[in-house]
Amino acid sequence: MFNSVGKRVPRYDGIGHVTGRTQYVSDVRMPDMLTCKTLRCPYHKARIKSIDVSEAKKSQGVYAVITKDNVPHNLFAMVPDHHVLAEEITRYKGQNIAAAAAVNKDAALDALAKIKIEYEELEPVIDPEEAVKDGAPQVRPEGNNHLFDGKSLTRKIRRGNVEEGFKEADFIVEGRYTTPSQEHAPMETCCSVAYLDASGKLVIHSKAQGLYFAQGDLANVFQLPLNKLKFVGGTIGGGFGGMNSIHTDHIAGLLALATGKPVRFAMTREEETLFSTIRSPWIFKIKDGIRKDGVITARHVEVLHDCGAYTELGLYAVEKNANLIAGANLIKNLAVDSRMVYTNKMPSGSMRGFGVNVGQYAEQVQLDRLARAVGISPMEIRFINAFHVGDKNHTGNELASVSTIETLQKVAAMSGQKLPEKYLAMSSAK
Amino acid sequence: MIKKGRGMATVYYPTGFNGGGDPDLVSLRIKTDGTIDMTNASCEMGQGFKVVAIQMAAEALGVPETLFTIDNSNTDTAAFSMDTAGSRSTYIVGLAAISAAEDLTKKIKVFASASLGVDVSELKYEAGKVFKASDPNSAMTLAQIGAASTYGGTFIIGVGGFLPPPGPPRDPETGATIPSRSMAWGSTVIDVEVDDETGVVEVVNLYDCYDIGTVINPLMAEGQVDGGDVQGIGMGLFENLSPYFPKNIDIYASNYTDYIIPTFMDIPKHSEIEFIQSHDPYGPFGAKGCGEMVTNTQAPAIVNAIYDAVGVLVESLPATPENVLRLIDEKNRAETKAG
Amino acid sequence: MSQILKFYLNGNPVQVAAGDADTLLDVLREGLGFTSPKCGCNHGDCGACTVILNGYSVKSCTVLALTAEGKNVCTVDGLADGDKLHPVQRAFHEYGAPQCGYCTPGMVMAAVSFLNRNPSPTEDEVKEALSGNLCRCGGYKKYVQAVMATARGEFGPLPEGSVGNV
Repeated sequence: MFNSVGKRVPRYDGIGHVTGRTQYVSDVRMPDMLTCKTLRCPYHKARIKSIDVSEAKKSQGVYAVITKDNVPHNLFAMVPDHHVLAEEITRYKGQNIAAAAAVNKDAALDALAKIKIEYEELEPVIDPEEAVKDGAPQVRPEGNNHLFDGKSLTRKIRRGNVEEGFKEADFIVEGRYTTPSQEHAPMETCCSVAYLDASGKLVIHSKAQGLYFAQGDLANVFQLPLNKLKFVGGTIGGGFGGMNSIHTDHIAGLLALATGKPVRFAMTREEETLFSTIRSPWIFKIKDGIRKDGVITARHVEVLHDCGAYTELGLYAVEKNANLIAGANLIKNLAVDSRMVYTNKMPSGSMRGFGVNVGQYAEQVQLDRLARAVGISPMEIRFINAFHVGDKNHTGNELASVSTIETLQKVAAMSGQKLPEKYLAMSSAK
Repeated sequence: MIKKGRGMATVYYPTGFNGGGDPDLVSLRIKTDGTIDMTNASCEMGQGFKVVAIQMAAEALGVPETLFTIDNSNTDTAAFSMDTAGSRSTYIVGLAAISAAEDLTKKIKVFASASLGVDVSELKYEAGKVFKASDPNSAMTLAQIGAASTYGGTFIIGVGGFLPPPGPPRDPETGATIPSRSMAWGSTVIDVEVDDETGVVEVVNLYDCYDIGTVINPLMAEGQVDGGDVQGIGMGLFENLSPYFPKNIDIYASNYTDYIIPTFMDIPKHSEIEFIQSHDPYGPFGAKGCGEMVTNTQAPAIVNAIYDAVGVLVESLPATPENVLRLIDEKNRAETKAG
Repeated sequence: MSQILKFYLNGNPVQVAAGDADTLLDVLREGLGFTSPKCGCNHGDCGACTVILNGYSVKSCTVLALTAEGKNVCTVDGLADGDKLHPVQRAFHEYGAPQCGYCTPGMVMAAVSFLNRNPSPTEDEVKEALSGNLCRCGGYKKYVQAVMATARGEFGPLPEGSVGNV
């Protein structure tokens, strides 16, 4: 039926990969290129009482030292609330405060060591369950709790009548599940090389997963029109969502503009692991009602997402999580209450399975708990509650192409599990 | 003692940005020898974007994929891409490529109609050739069109785009909206071995069955699934930046020595992947998104399998030996007390 | 203090300035401009910088450059015979093992070095031999399949002589 579609065609740049000829951003070198290093805040939260870079600027081999005062527009990210270089109050350990461009790494580090900075360490809040409380230390002036639609503490999903559904149930099963901070850990750490081309255009070799996404964001930071800002990249040593957030492009670009020379800013593995965006922690509380026949009659989910110090992609993750947290099951009576709270940690980025796989862990473990409560098998509960074509999912989407039943039948056969005839006869078609 | 257990999990996963509204554009330019430059600025990060995009453009034009080059390298020359995220590239770039191919064939016909001296309506395009419907021998090849148009001062470039329809504004009270029209599906079964004296969990067998619609390139799709399994195992068993959070946030992993990601030694001894026959009514050639869904089922399936093996429920990821052993000890103490 | 370091790179004599704290990875990438060995961690954890030094695969970020004096260093650049890829390279490509490709040059060198010593391995031996090379994309399964296929001769005989042991 198809000519090209469906063929096992090897990777377009596969020969480059096996011969080492593929060029990544971290391989880009330019004549007269400077090295960038940044001064990072050593506290979870602090007030910068004073900062003096005059000695640092005189340091040998240094071409520029910049702070927030040198950033045309000091806000960036998908929800642009993240500071390129810290303002008066720092919000997480490792937040960039100042940056130096110098002839080599040692000269850059020497310059940073000469910055005179006076901190007042402030009380941070780290635990999201503490951060939601009244009187908790404030991560940001607007408060710790995100207000959905500008007013609501919770992001809601309501379907059917949950209280009625619980009354219908033979068993009520509750569970609490948590997931930790995870790092994307791509093999290539985040790296940028920025320079001004012959026409004066700022060119940034970037690890961004979305070159245009980063370009749009940083045009605002640099206050440059799009014809004066070019992003180069498209071949990166792993992203997994981490490169949807900007870690080095903004500072490398600012330093290239400040010095007129090519500037390379590459994170070490330690910087990448400690200070880049992460998959941030989640807490899920699920309360389910289930009948003896295995039908889930009601579900109430409470979600708390620890967004870290800035929004980055945390809000998007909460939205997506809420839409999918009830899983691939037709649940007629459902309530979801999601909250997002700011803490003094690195910001919540996107990571493969973004907002969903954390919820799926909770939901699918809870599903087995339900099966045990009723005394049916893990296979059975999934067949019994499966979506069919034409069903509406939990946000009211009519489902077109549906396959829970078919994938269950197949995976049972693959793993040598005999299914009762009634499950073999089932189909997602209604 | 080694205890065996089996666990499973299912998932469904949307294709594209939550709520839609994330466009991509594609351009297709014929060169003087009939080869084709495709552009779109999605990122190649190992998922196989480039080859998959080319295969879909080749399919739409009915020509071999060897004719193509693809430029995704910069914002000056590559057509707009919203982002490379949300399992969107195959689907959205594919639909944009189909639209660009339609535009290209239309422009080829307009050009050929002047060259061949017939009305556009009498021309047919098929498999890299344009010809009079009444006379297949009249065909002009892509190479002839590329050369004649370029040296004749006519720029033939097919352009197209696709915008997943933006969902309606989310109802603040019920949450009703349309996050995505196309959903991919999957089920995983995992067999583990748990050493109840050390807490070490090993994934022995892993079976994945996914519905990602039409599989554009099985080699790349298998790579995505293999990688999803490995990352899912990492999420289930190892990965935690701050193991003593929230009590202590300063004991922190900072490199691959402390932050344990799976190695060759951690992949299942046996694993199988099946894609079921399926066709998405909206996707390009029936395809759906793949990349993110395939790292959802492993962590819960592992946790369910651990319960099956030793009767303890890991309610906080990851199921490190320390955590599993602690739970086994608690269970043993509770049983001793009760017994 | 820097001094002039001389060694053989992919069979060719090279000389380069090297400081006493520079690693072999530093001089290959920064001094000589050979960017095929990648820097993933600079700690010897990830193996992206694997090269073959006098016949042994080493993580070049853990080798002090000056200890390579007079030795033979082989990077992935030296494997192909003109356009003819080494069987391991062909196998990796055709089995679709590399994904983002950043770990691949190191993975190729680790596999070549291993197959030179153990041309007929079991799957478990392959996993153990390559376990010092991380791949975050998780392409491990296809890497194992590709090494086993190479060992079966699916991509022709391995070249005579041990790579990097000129």
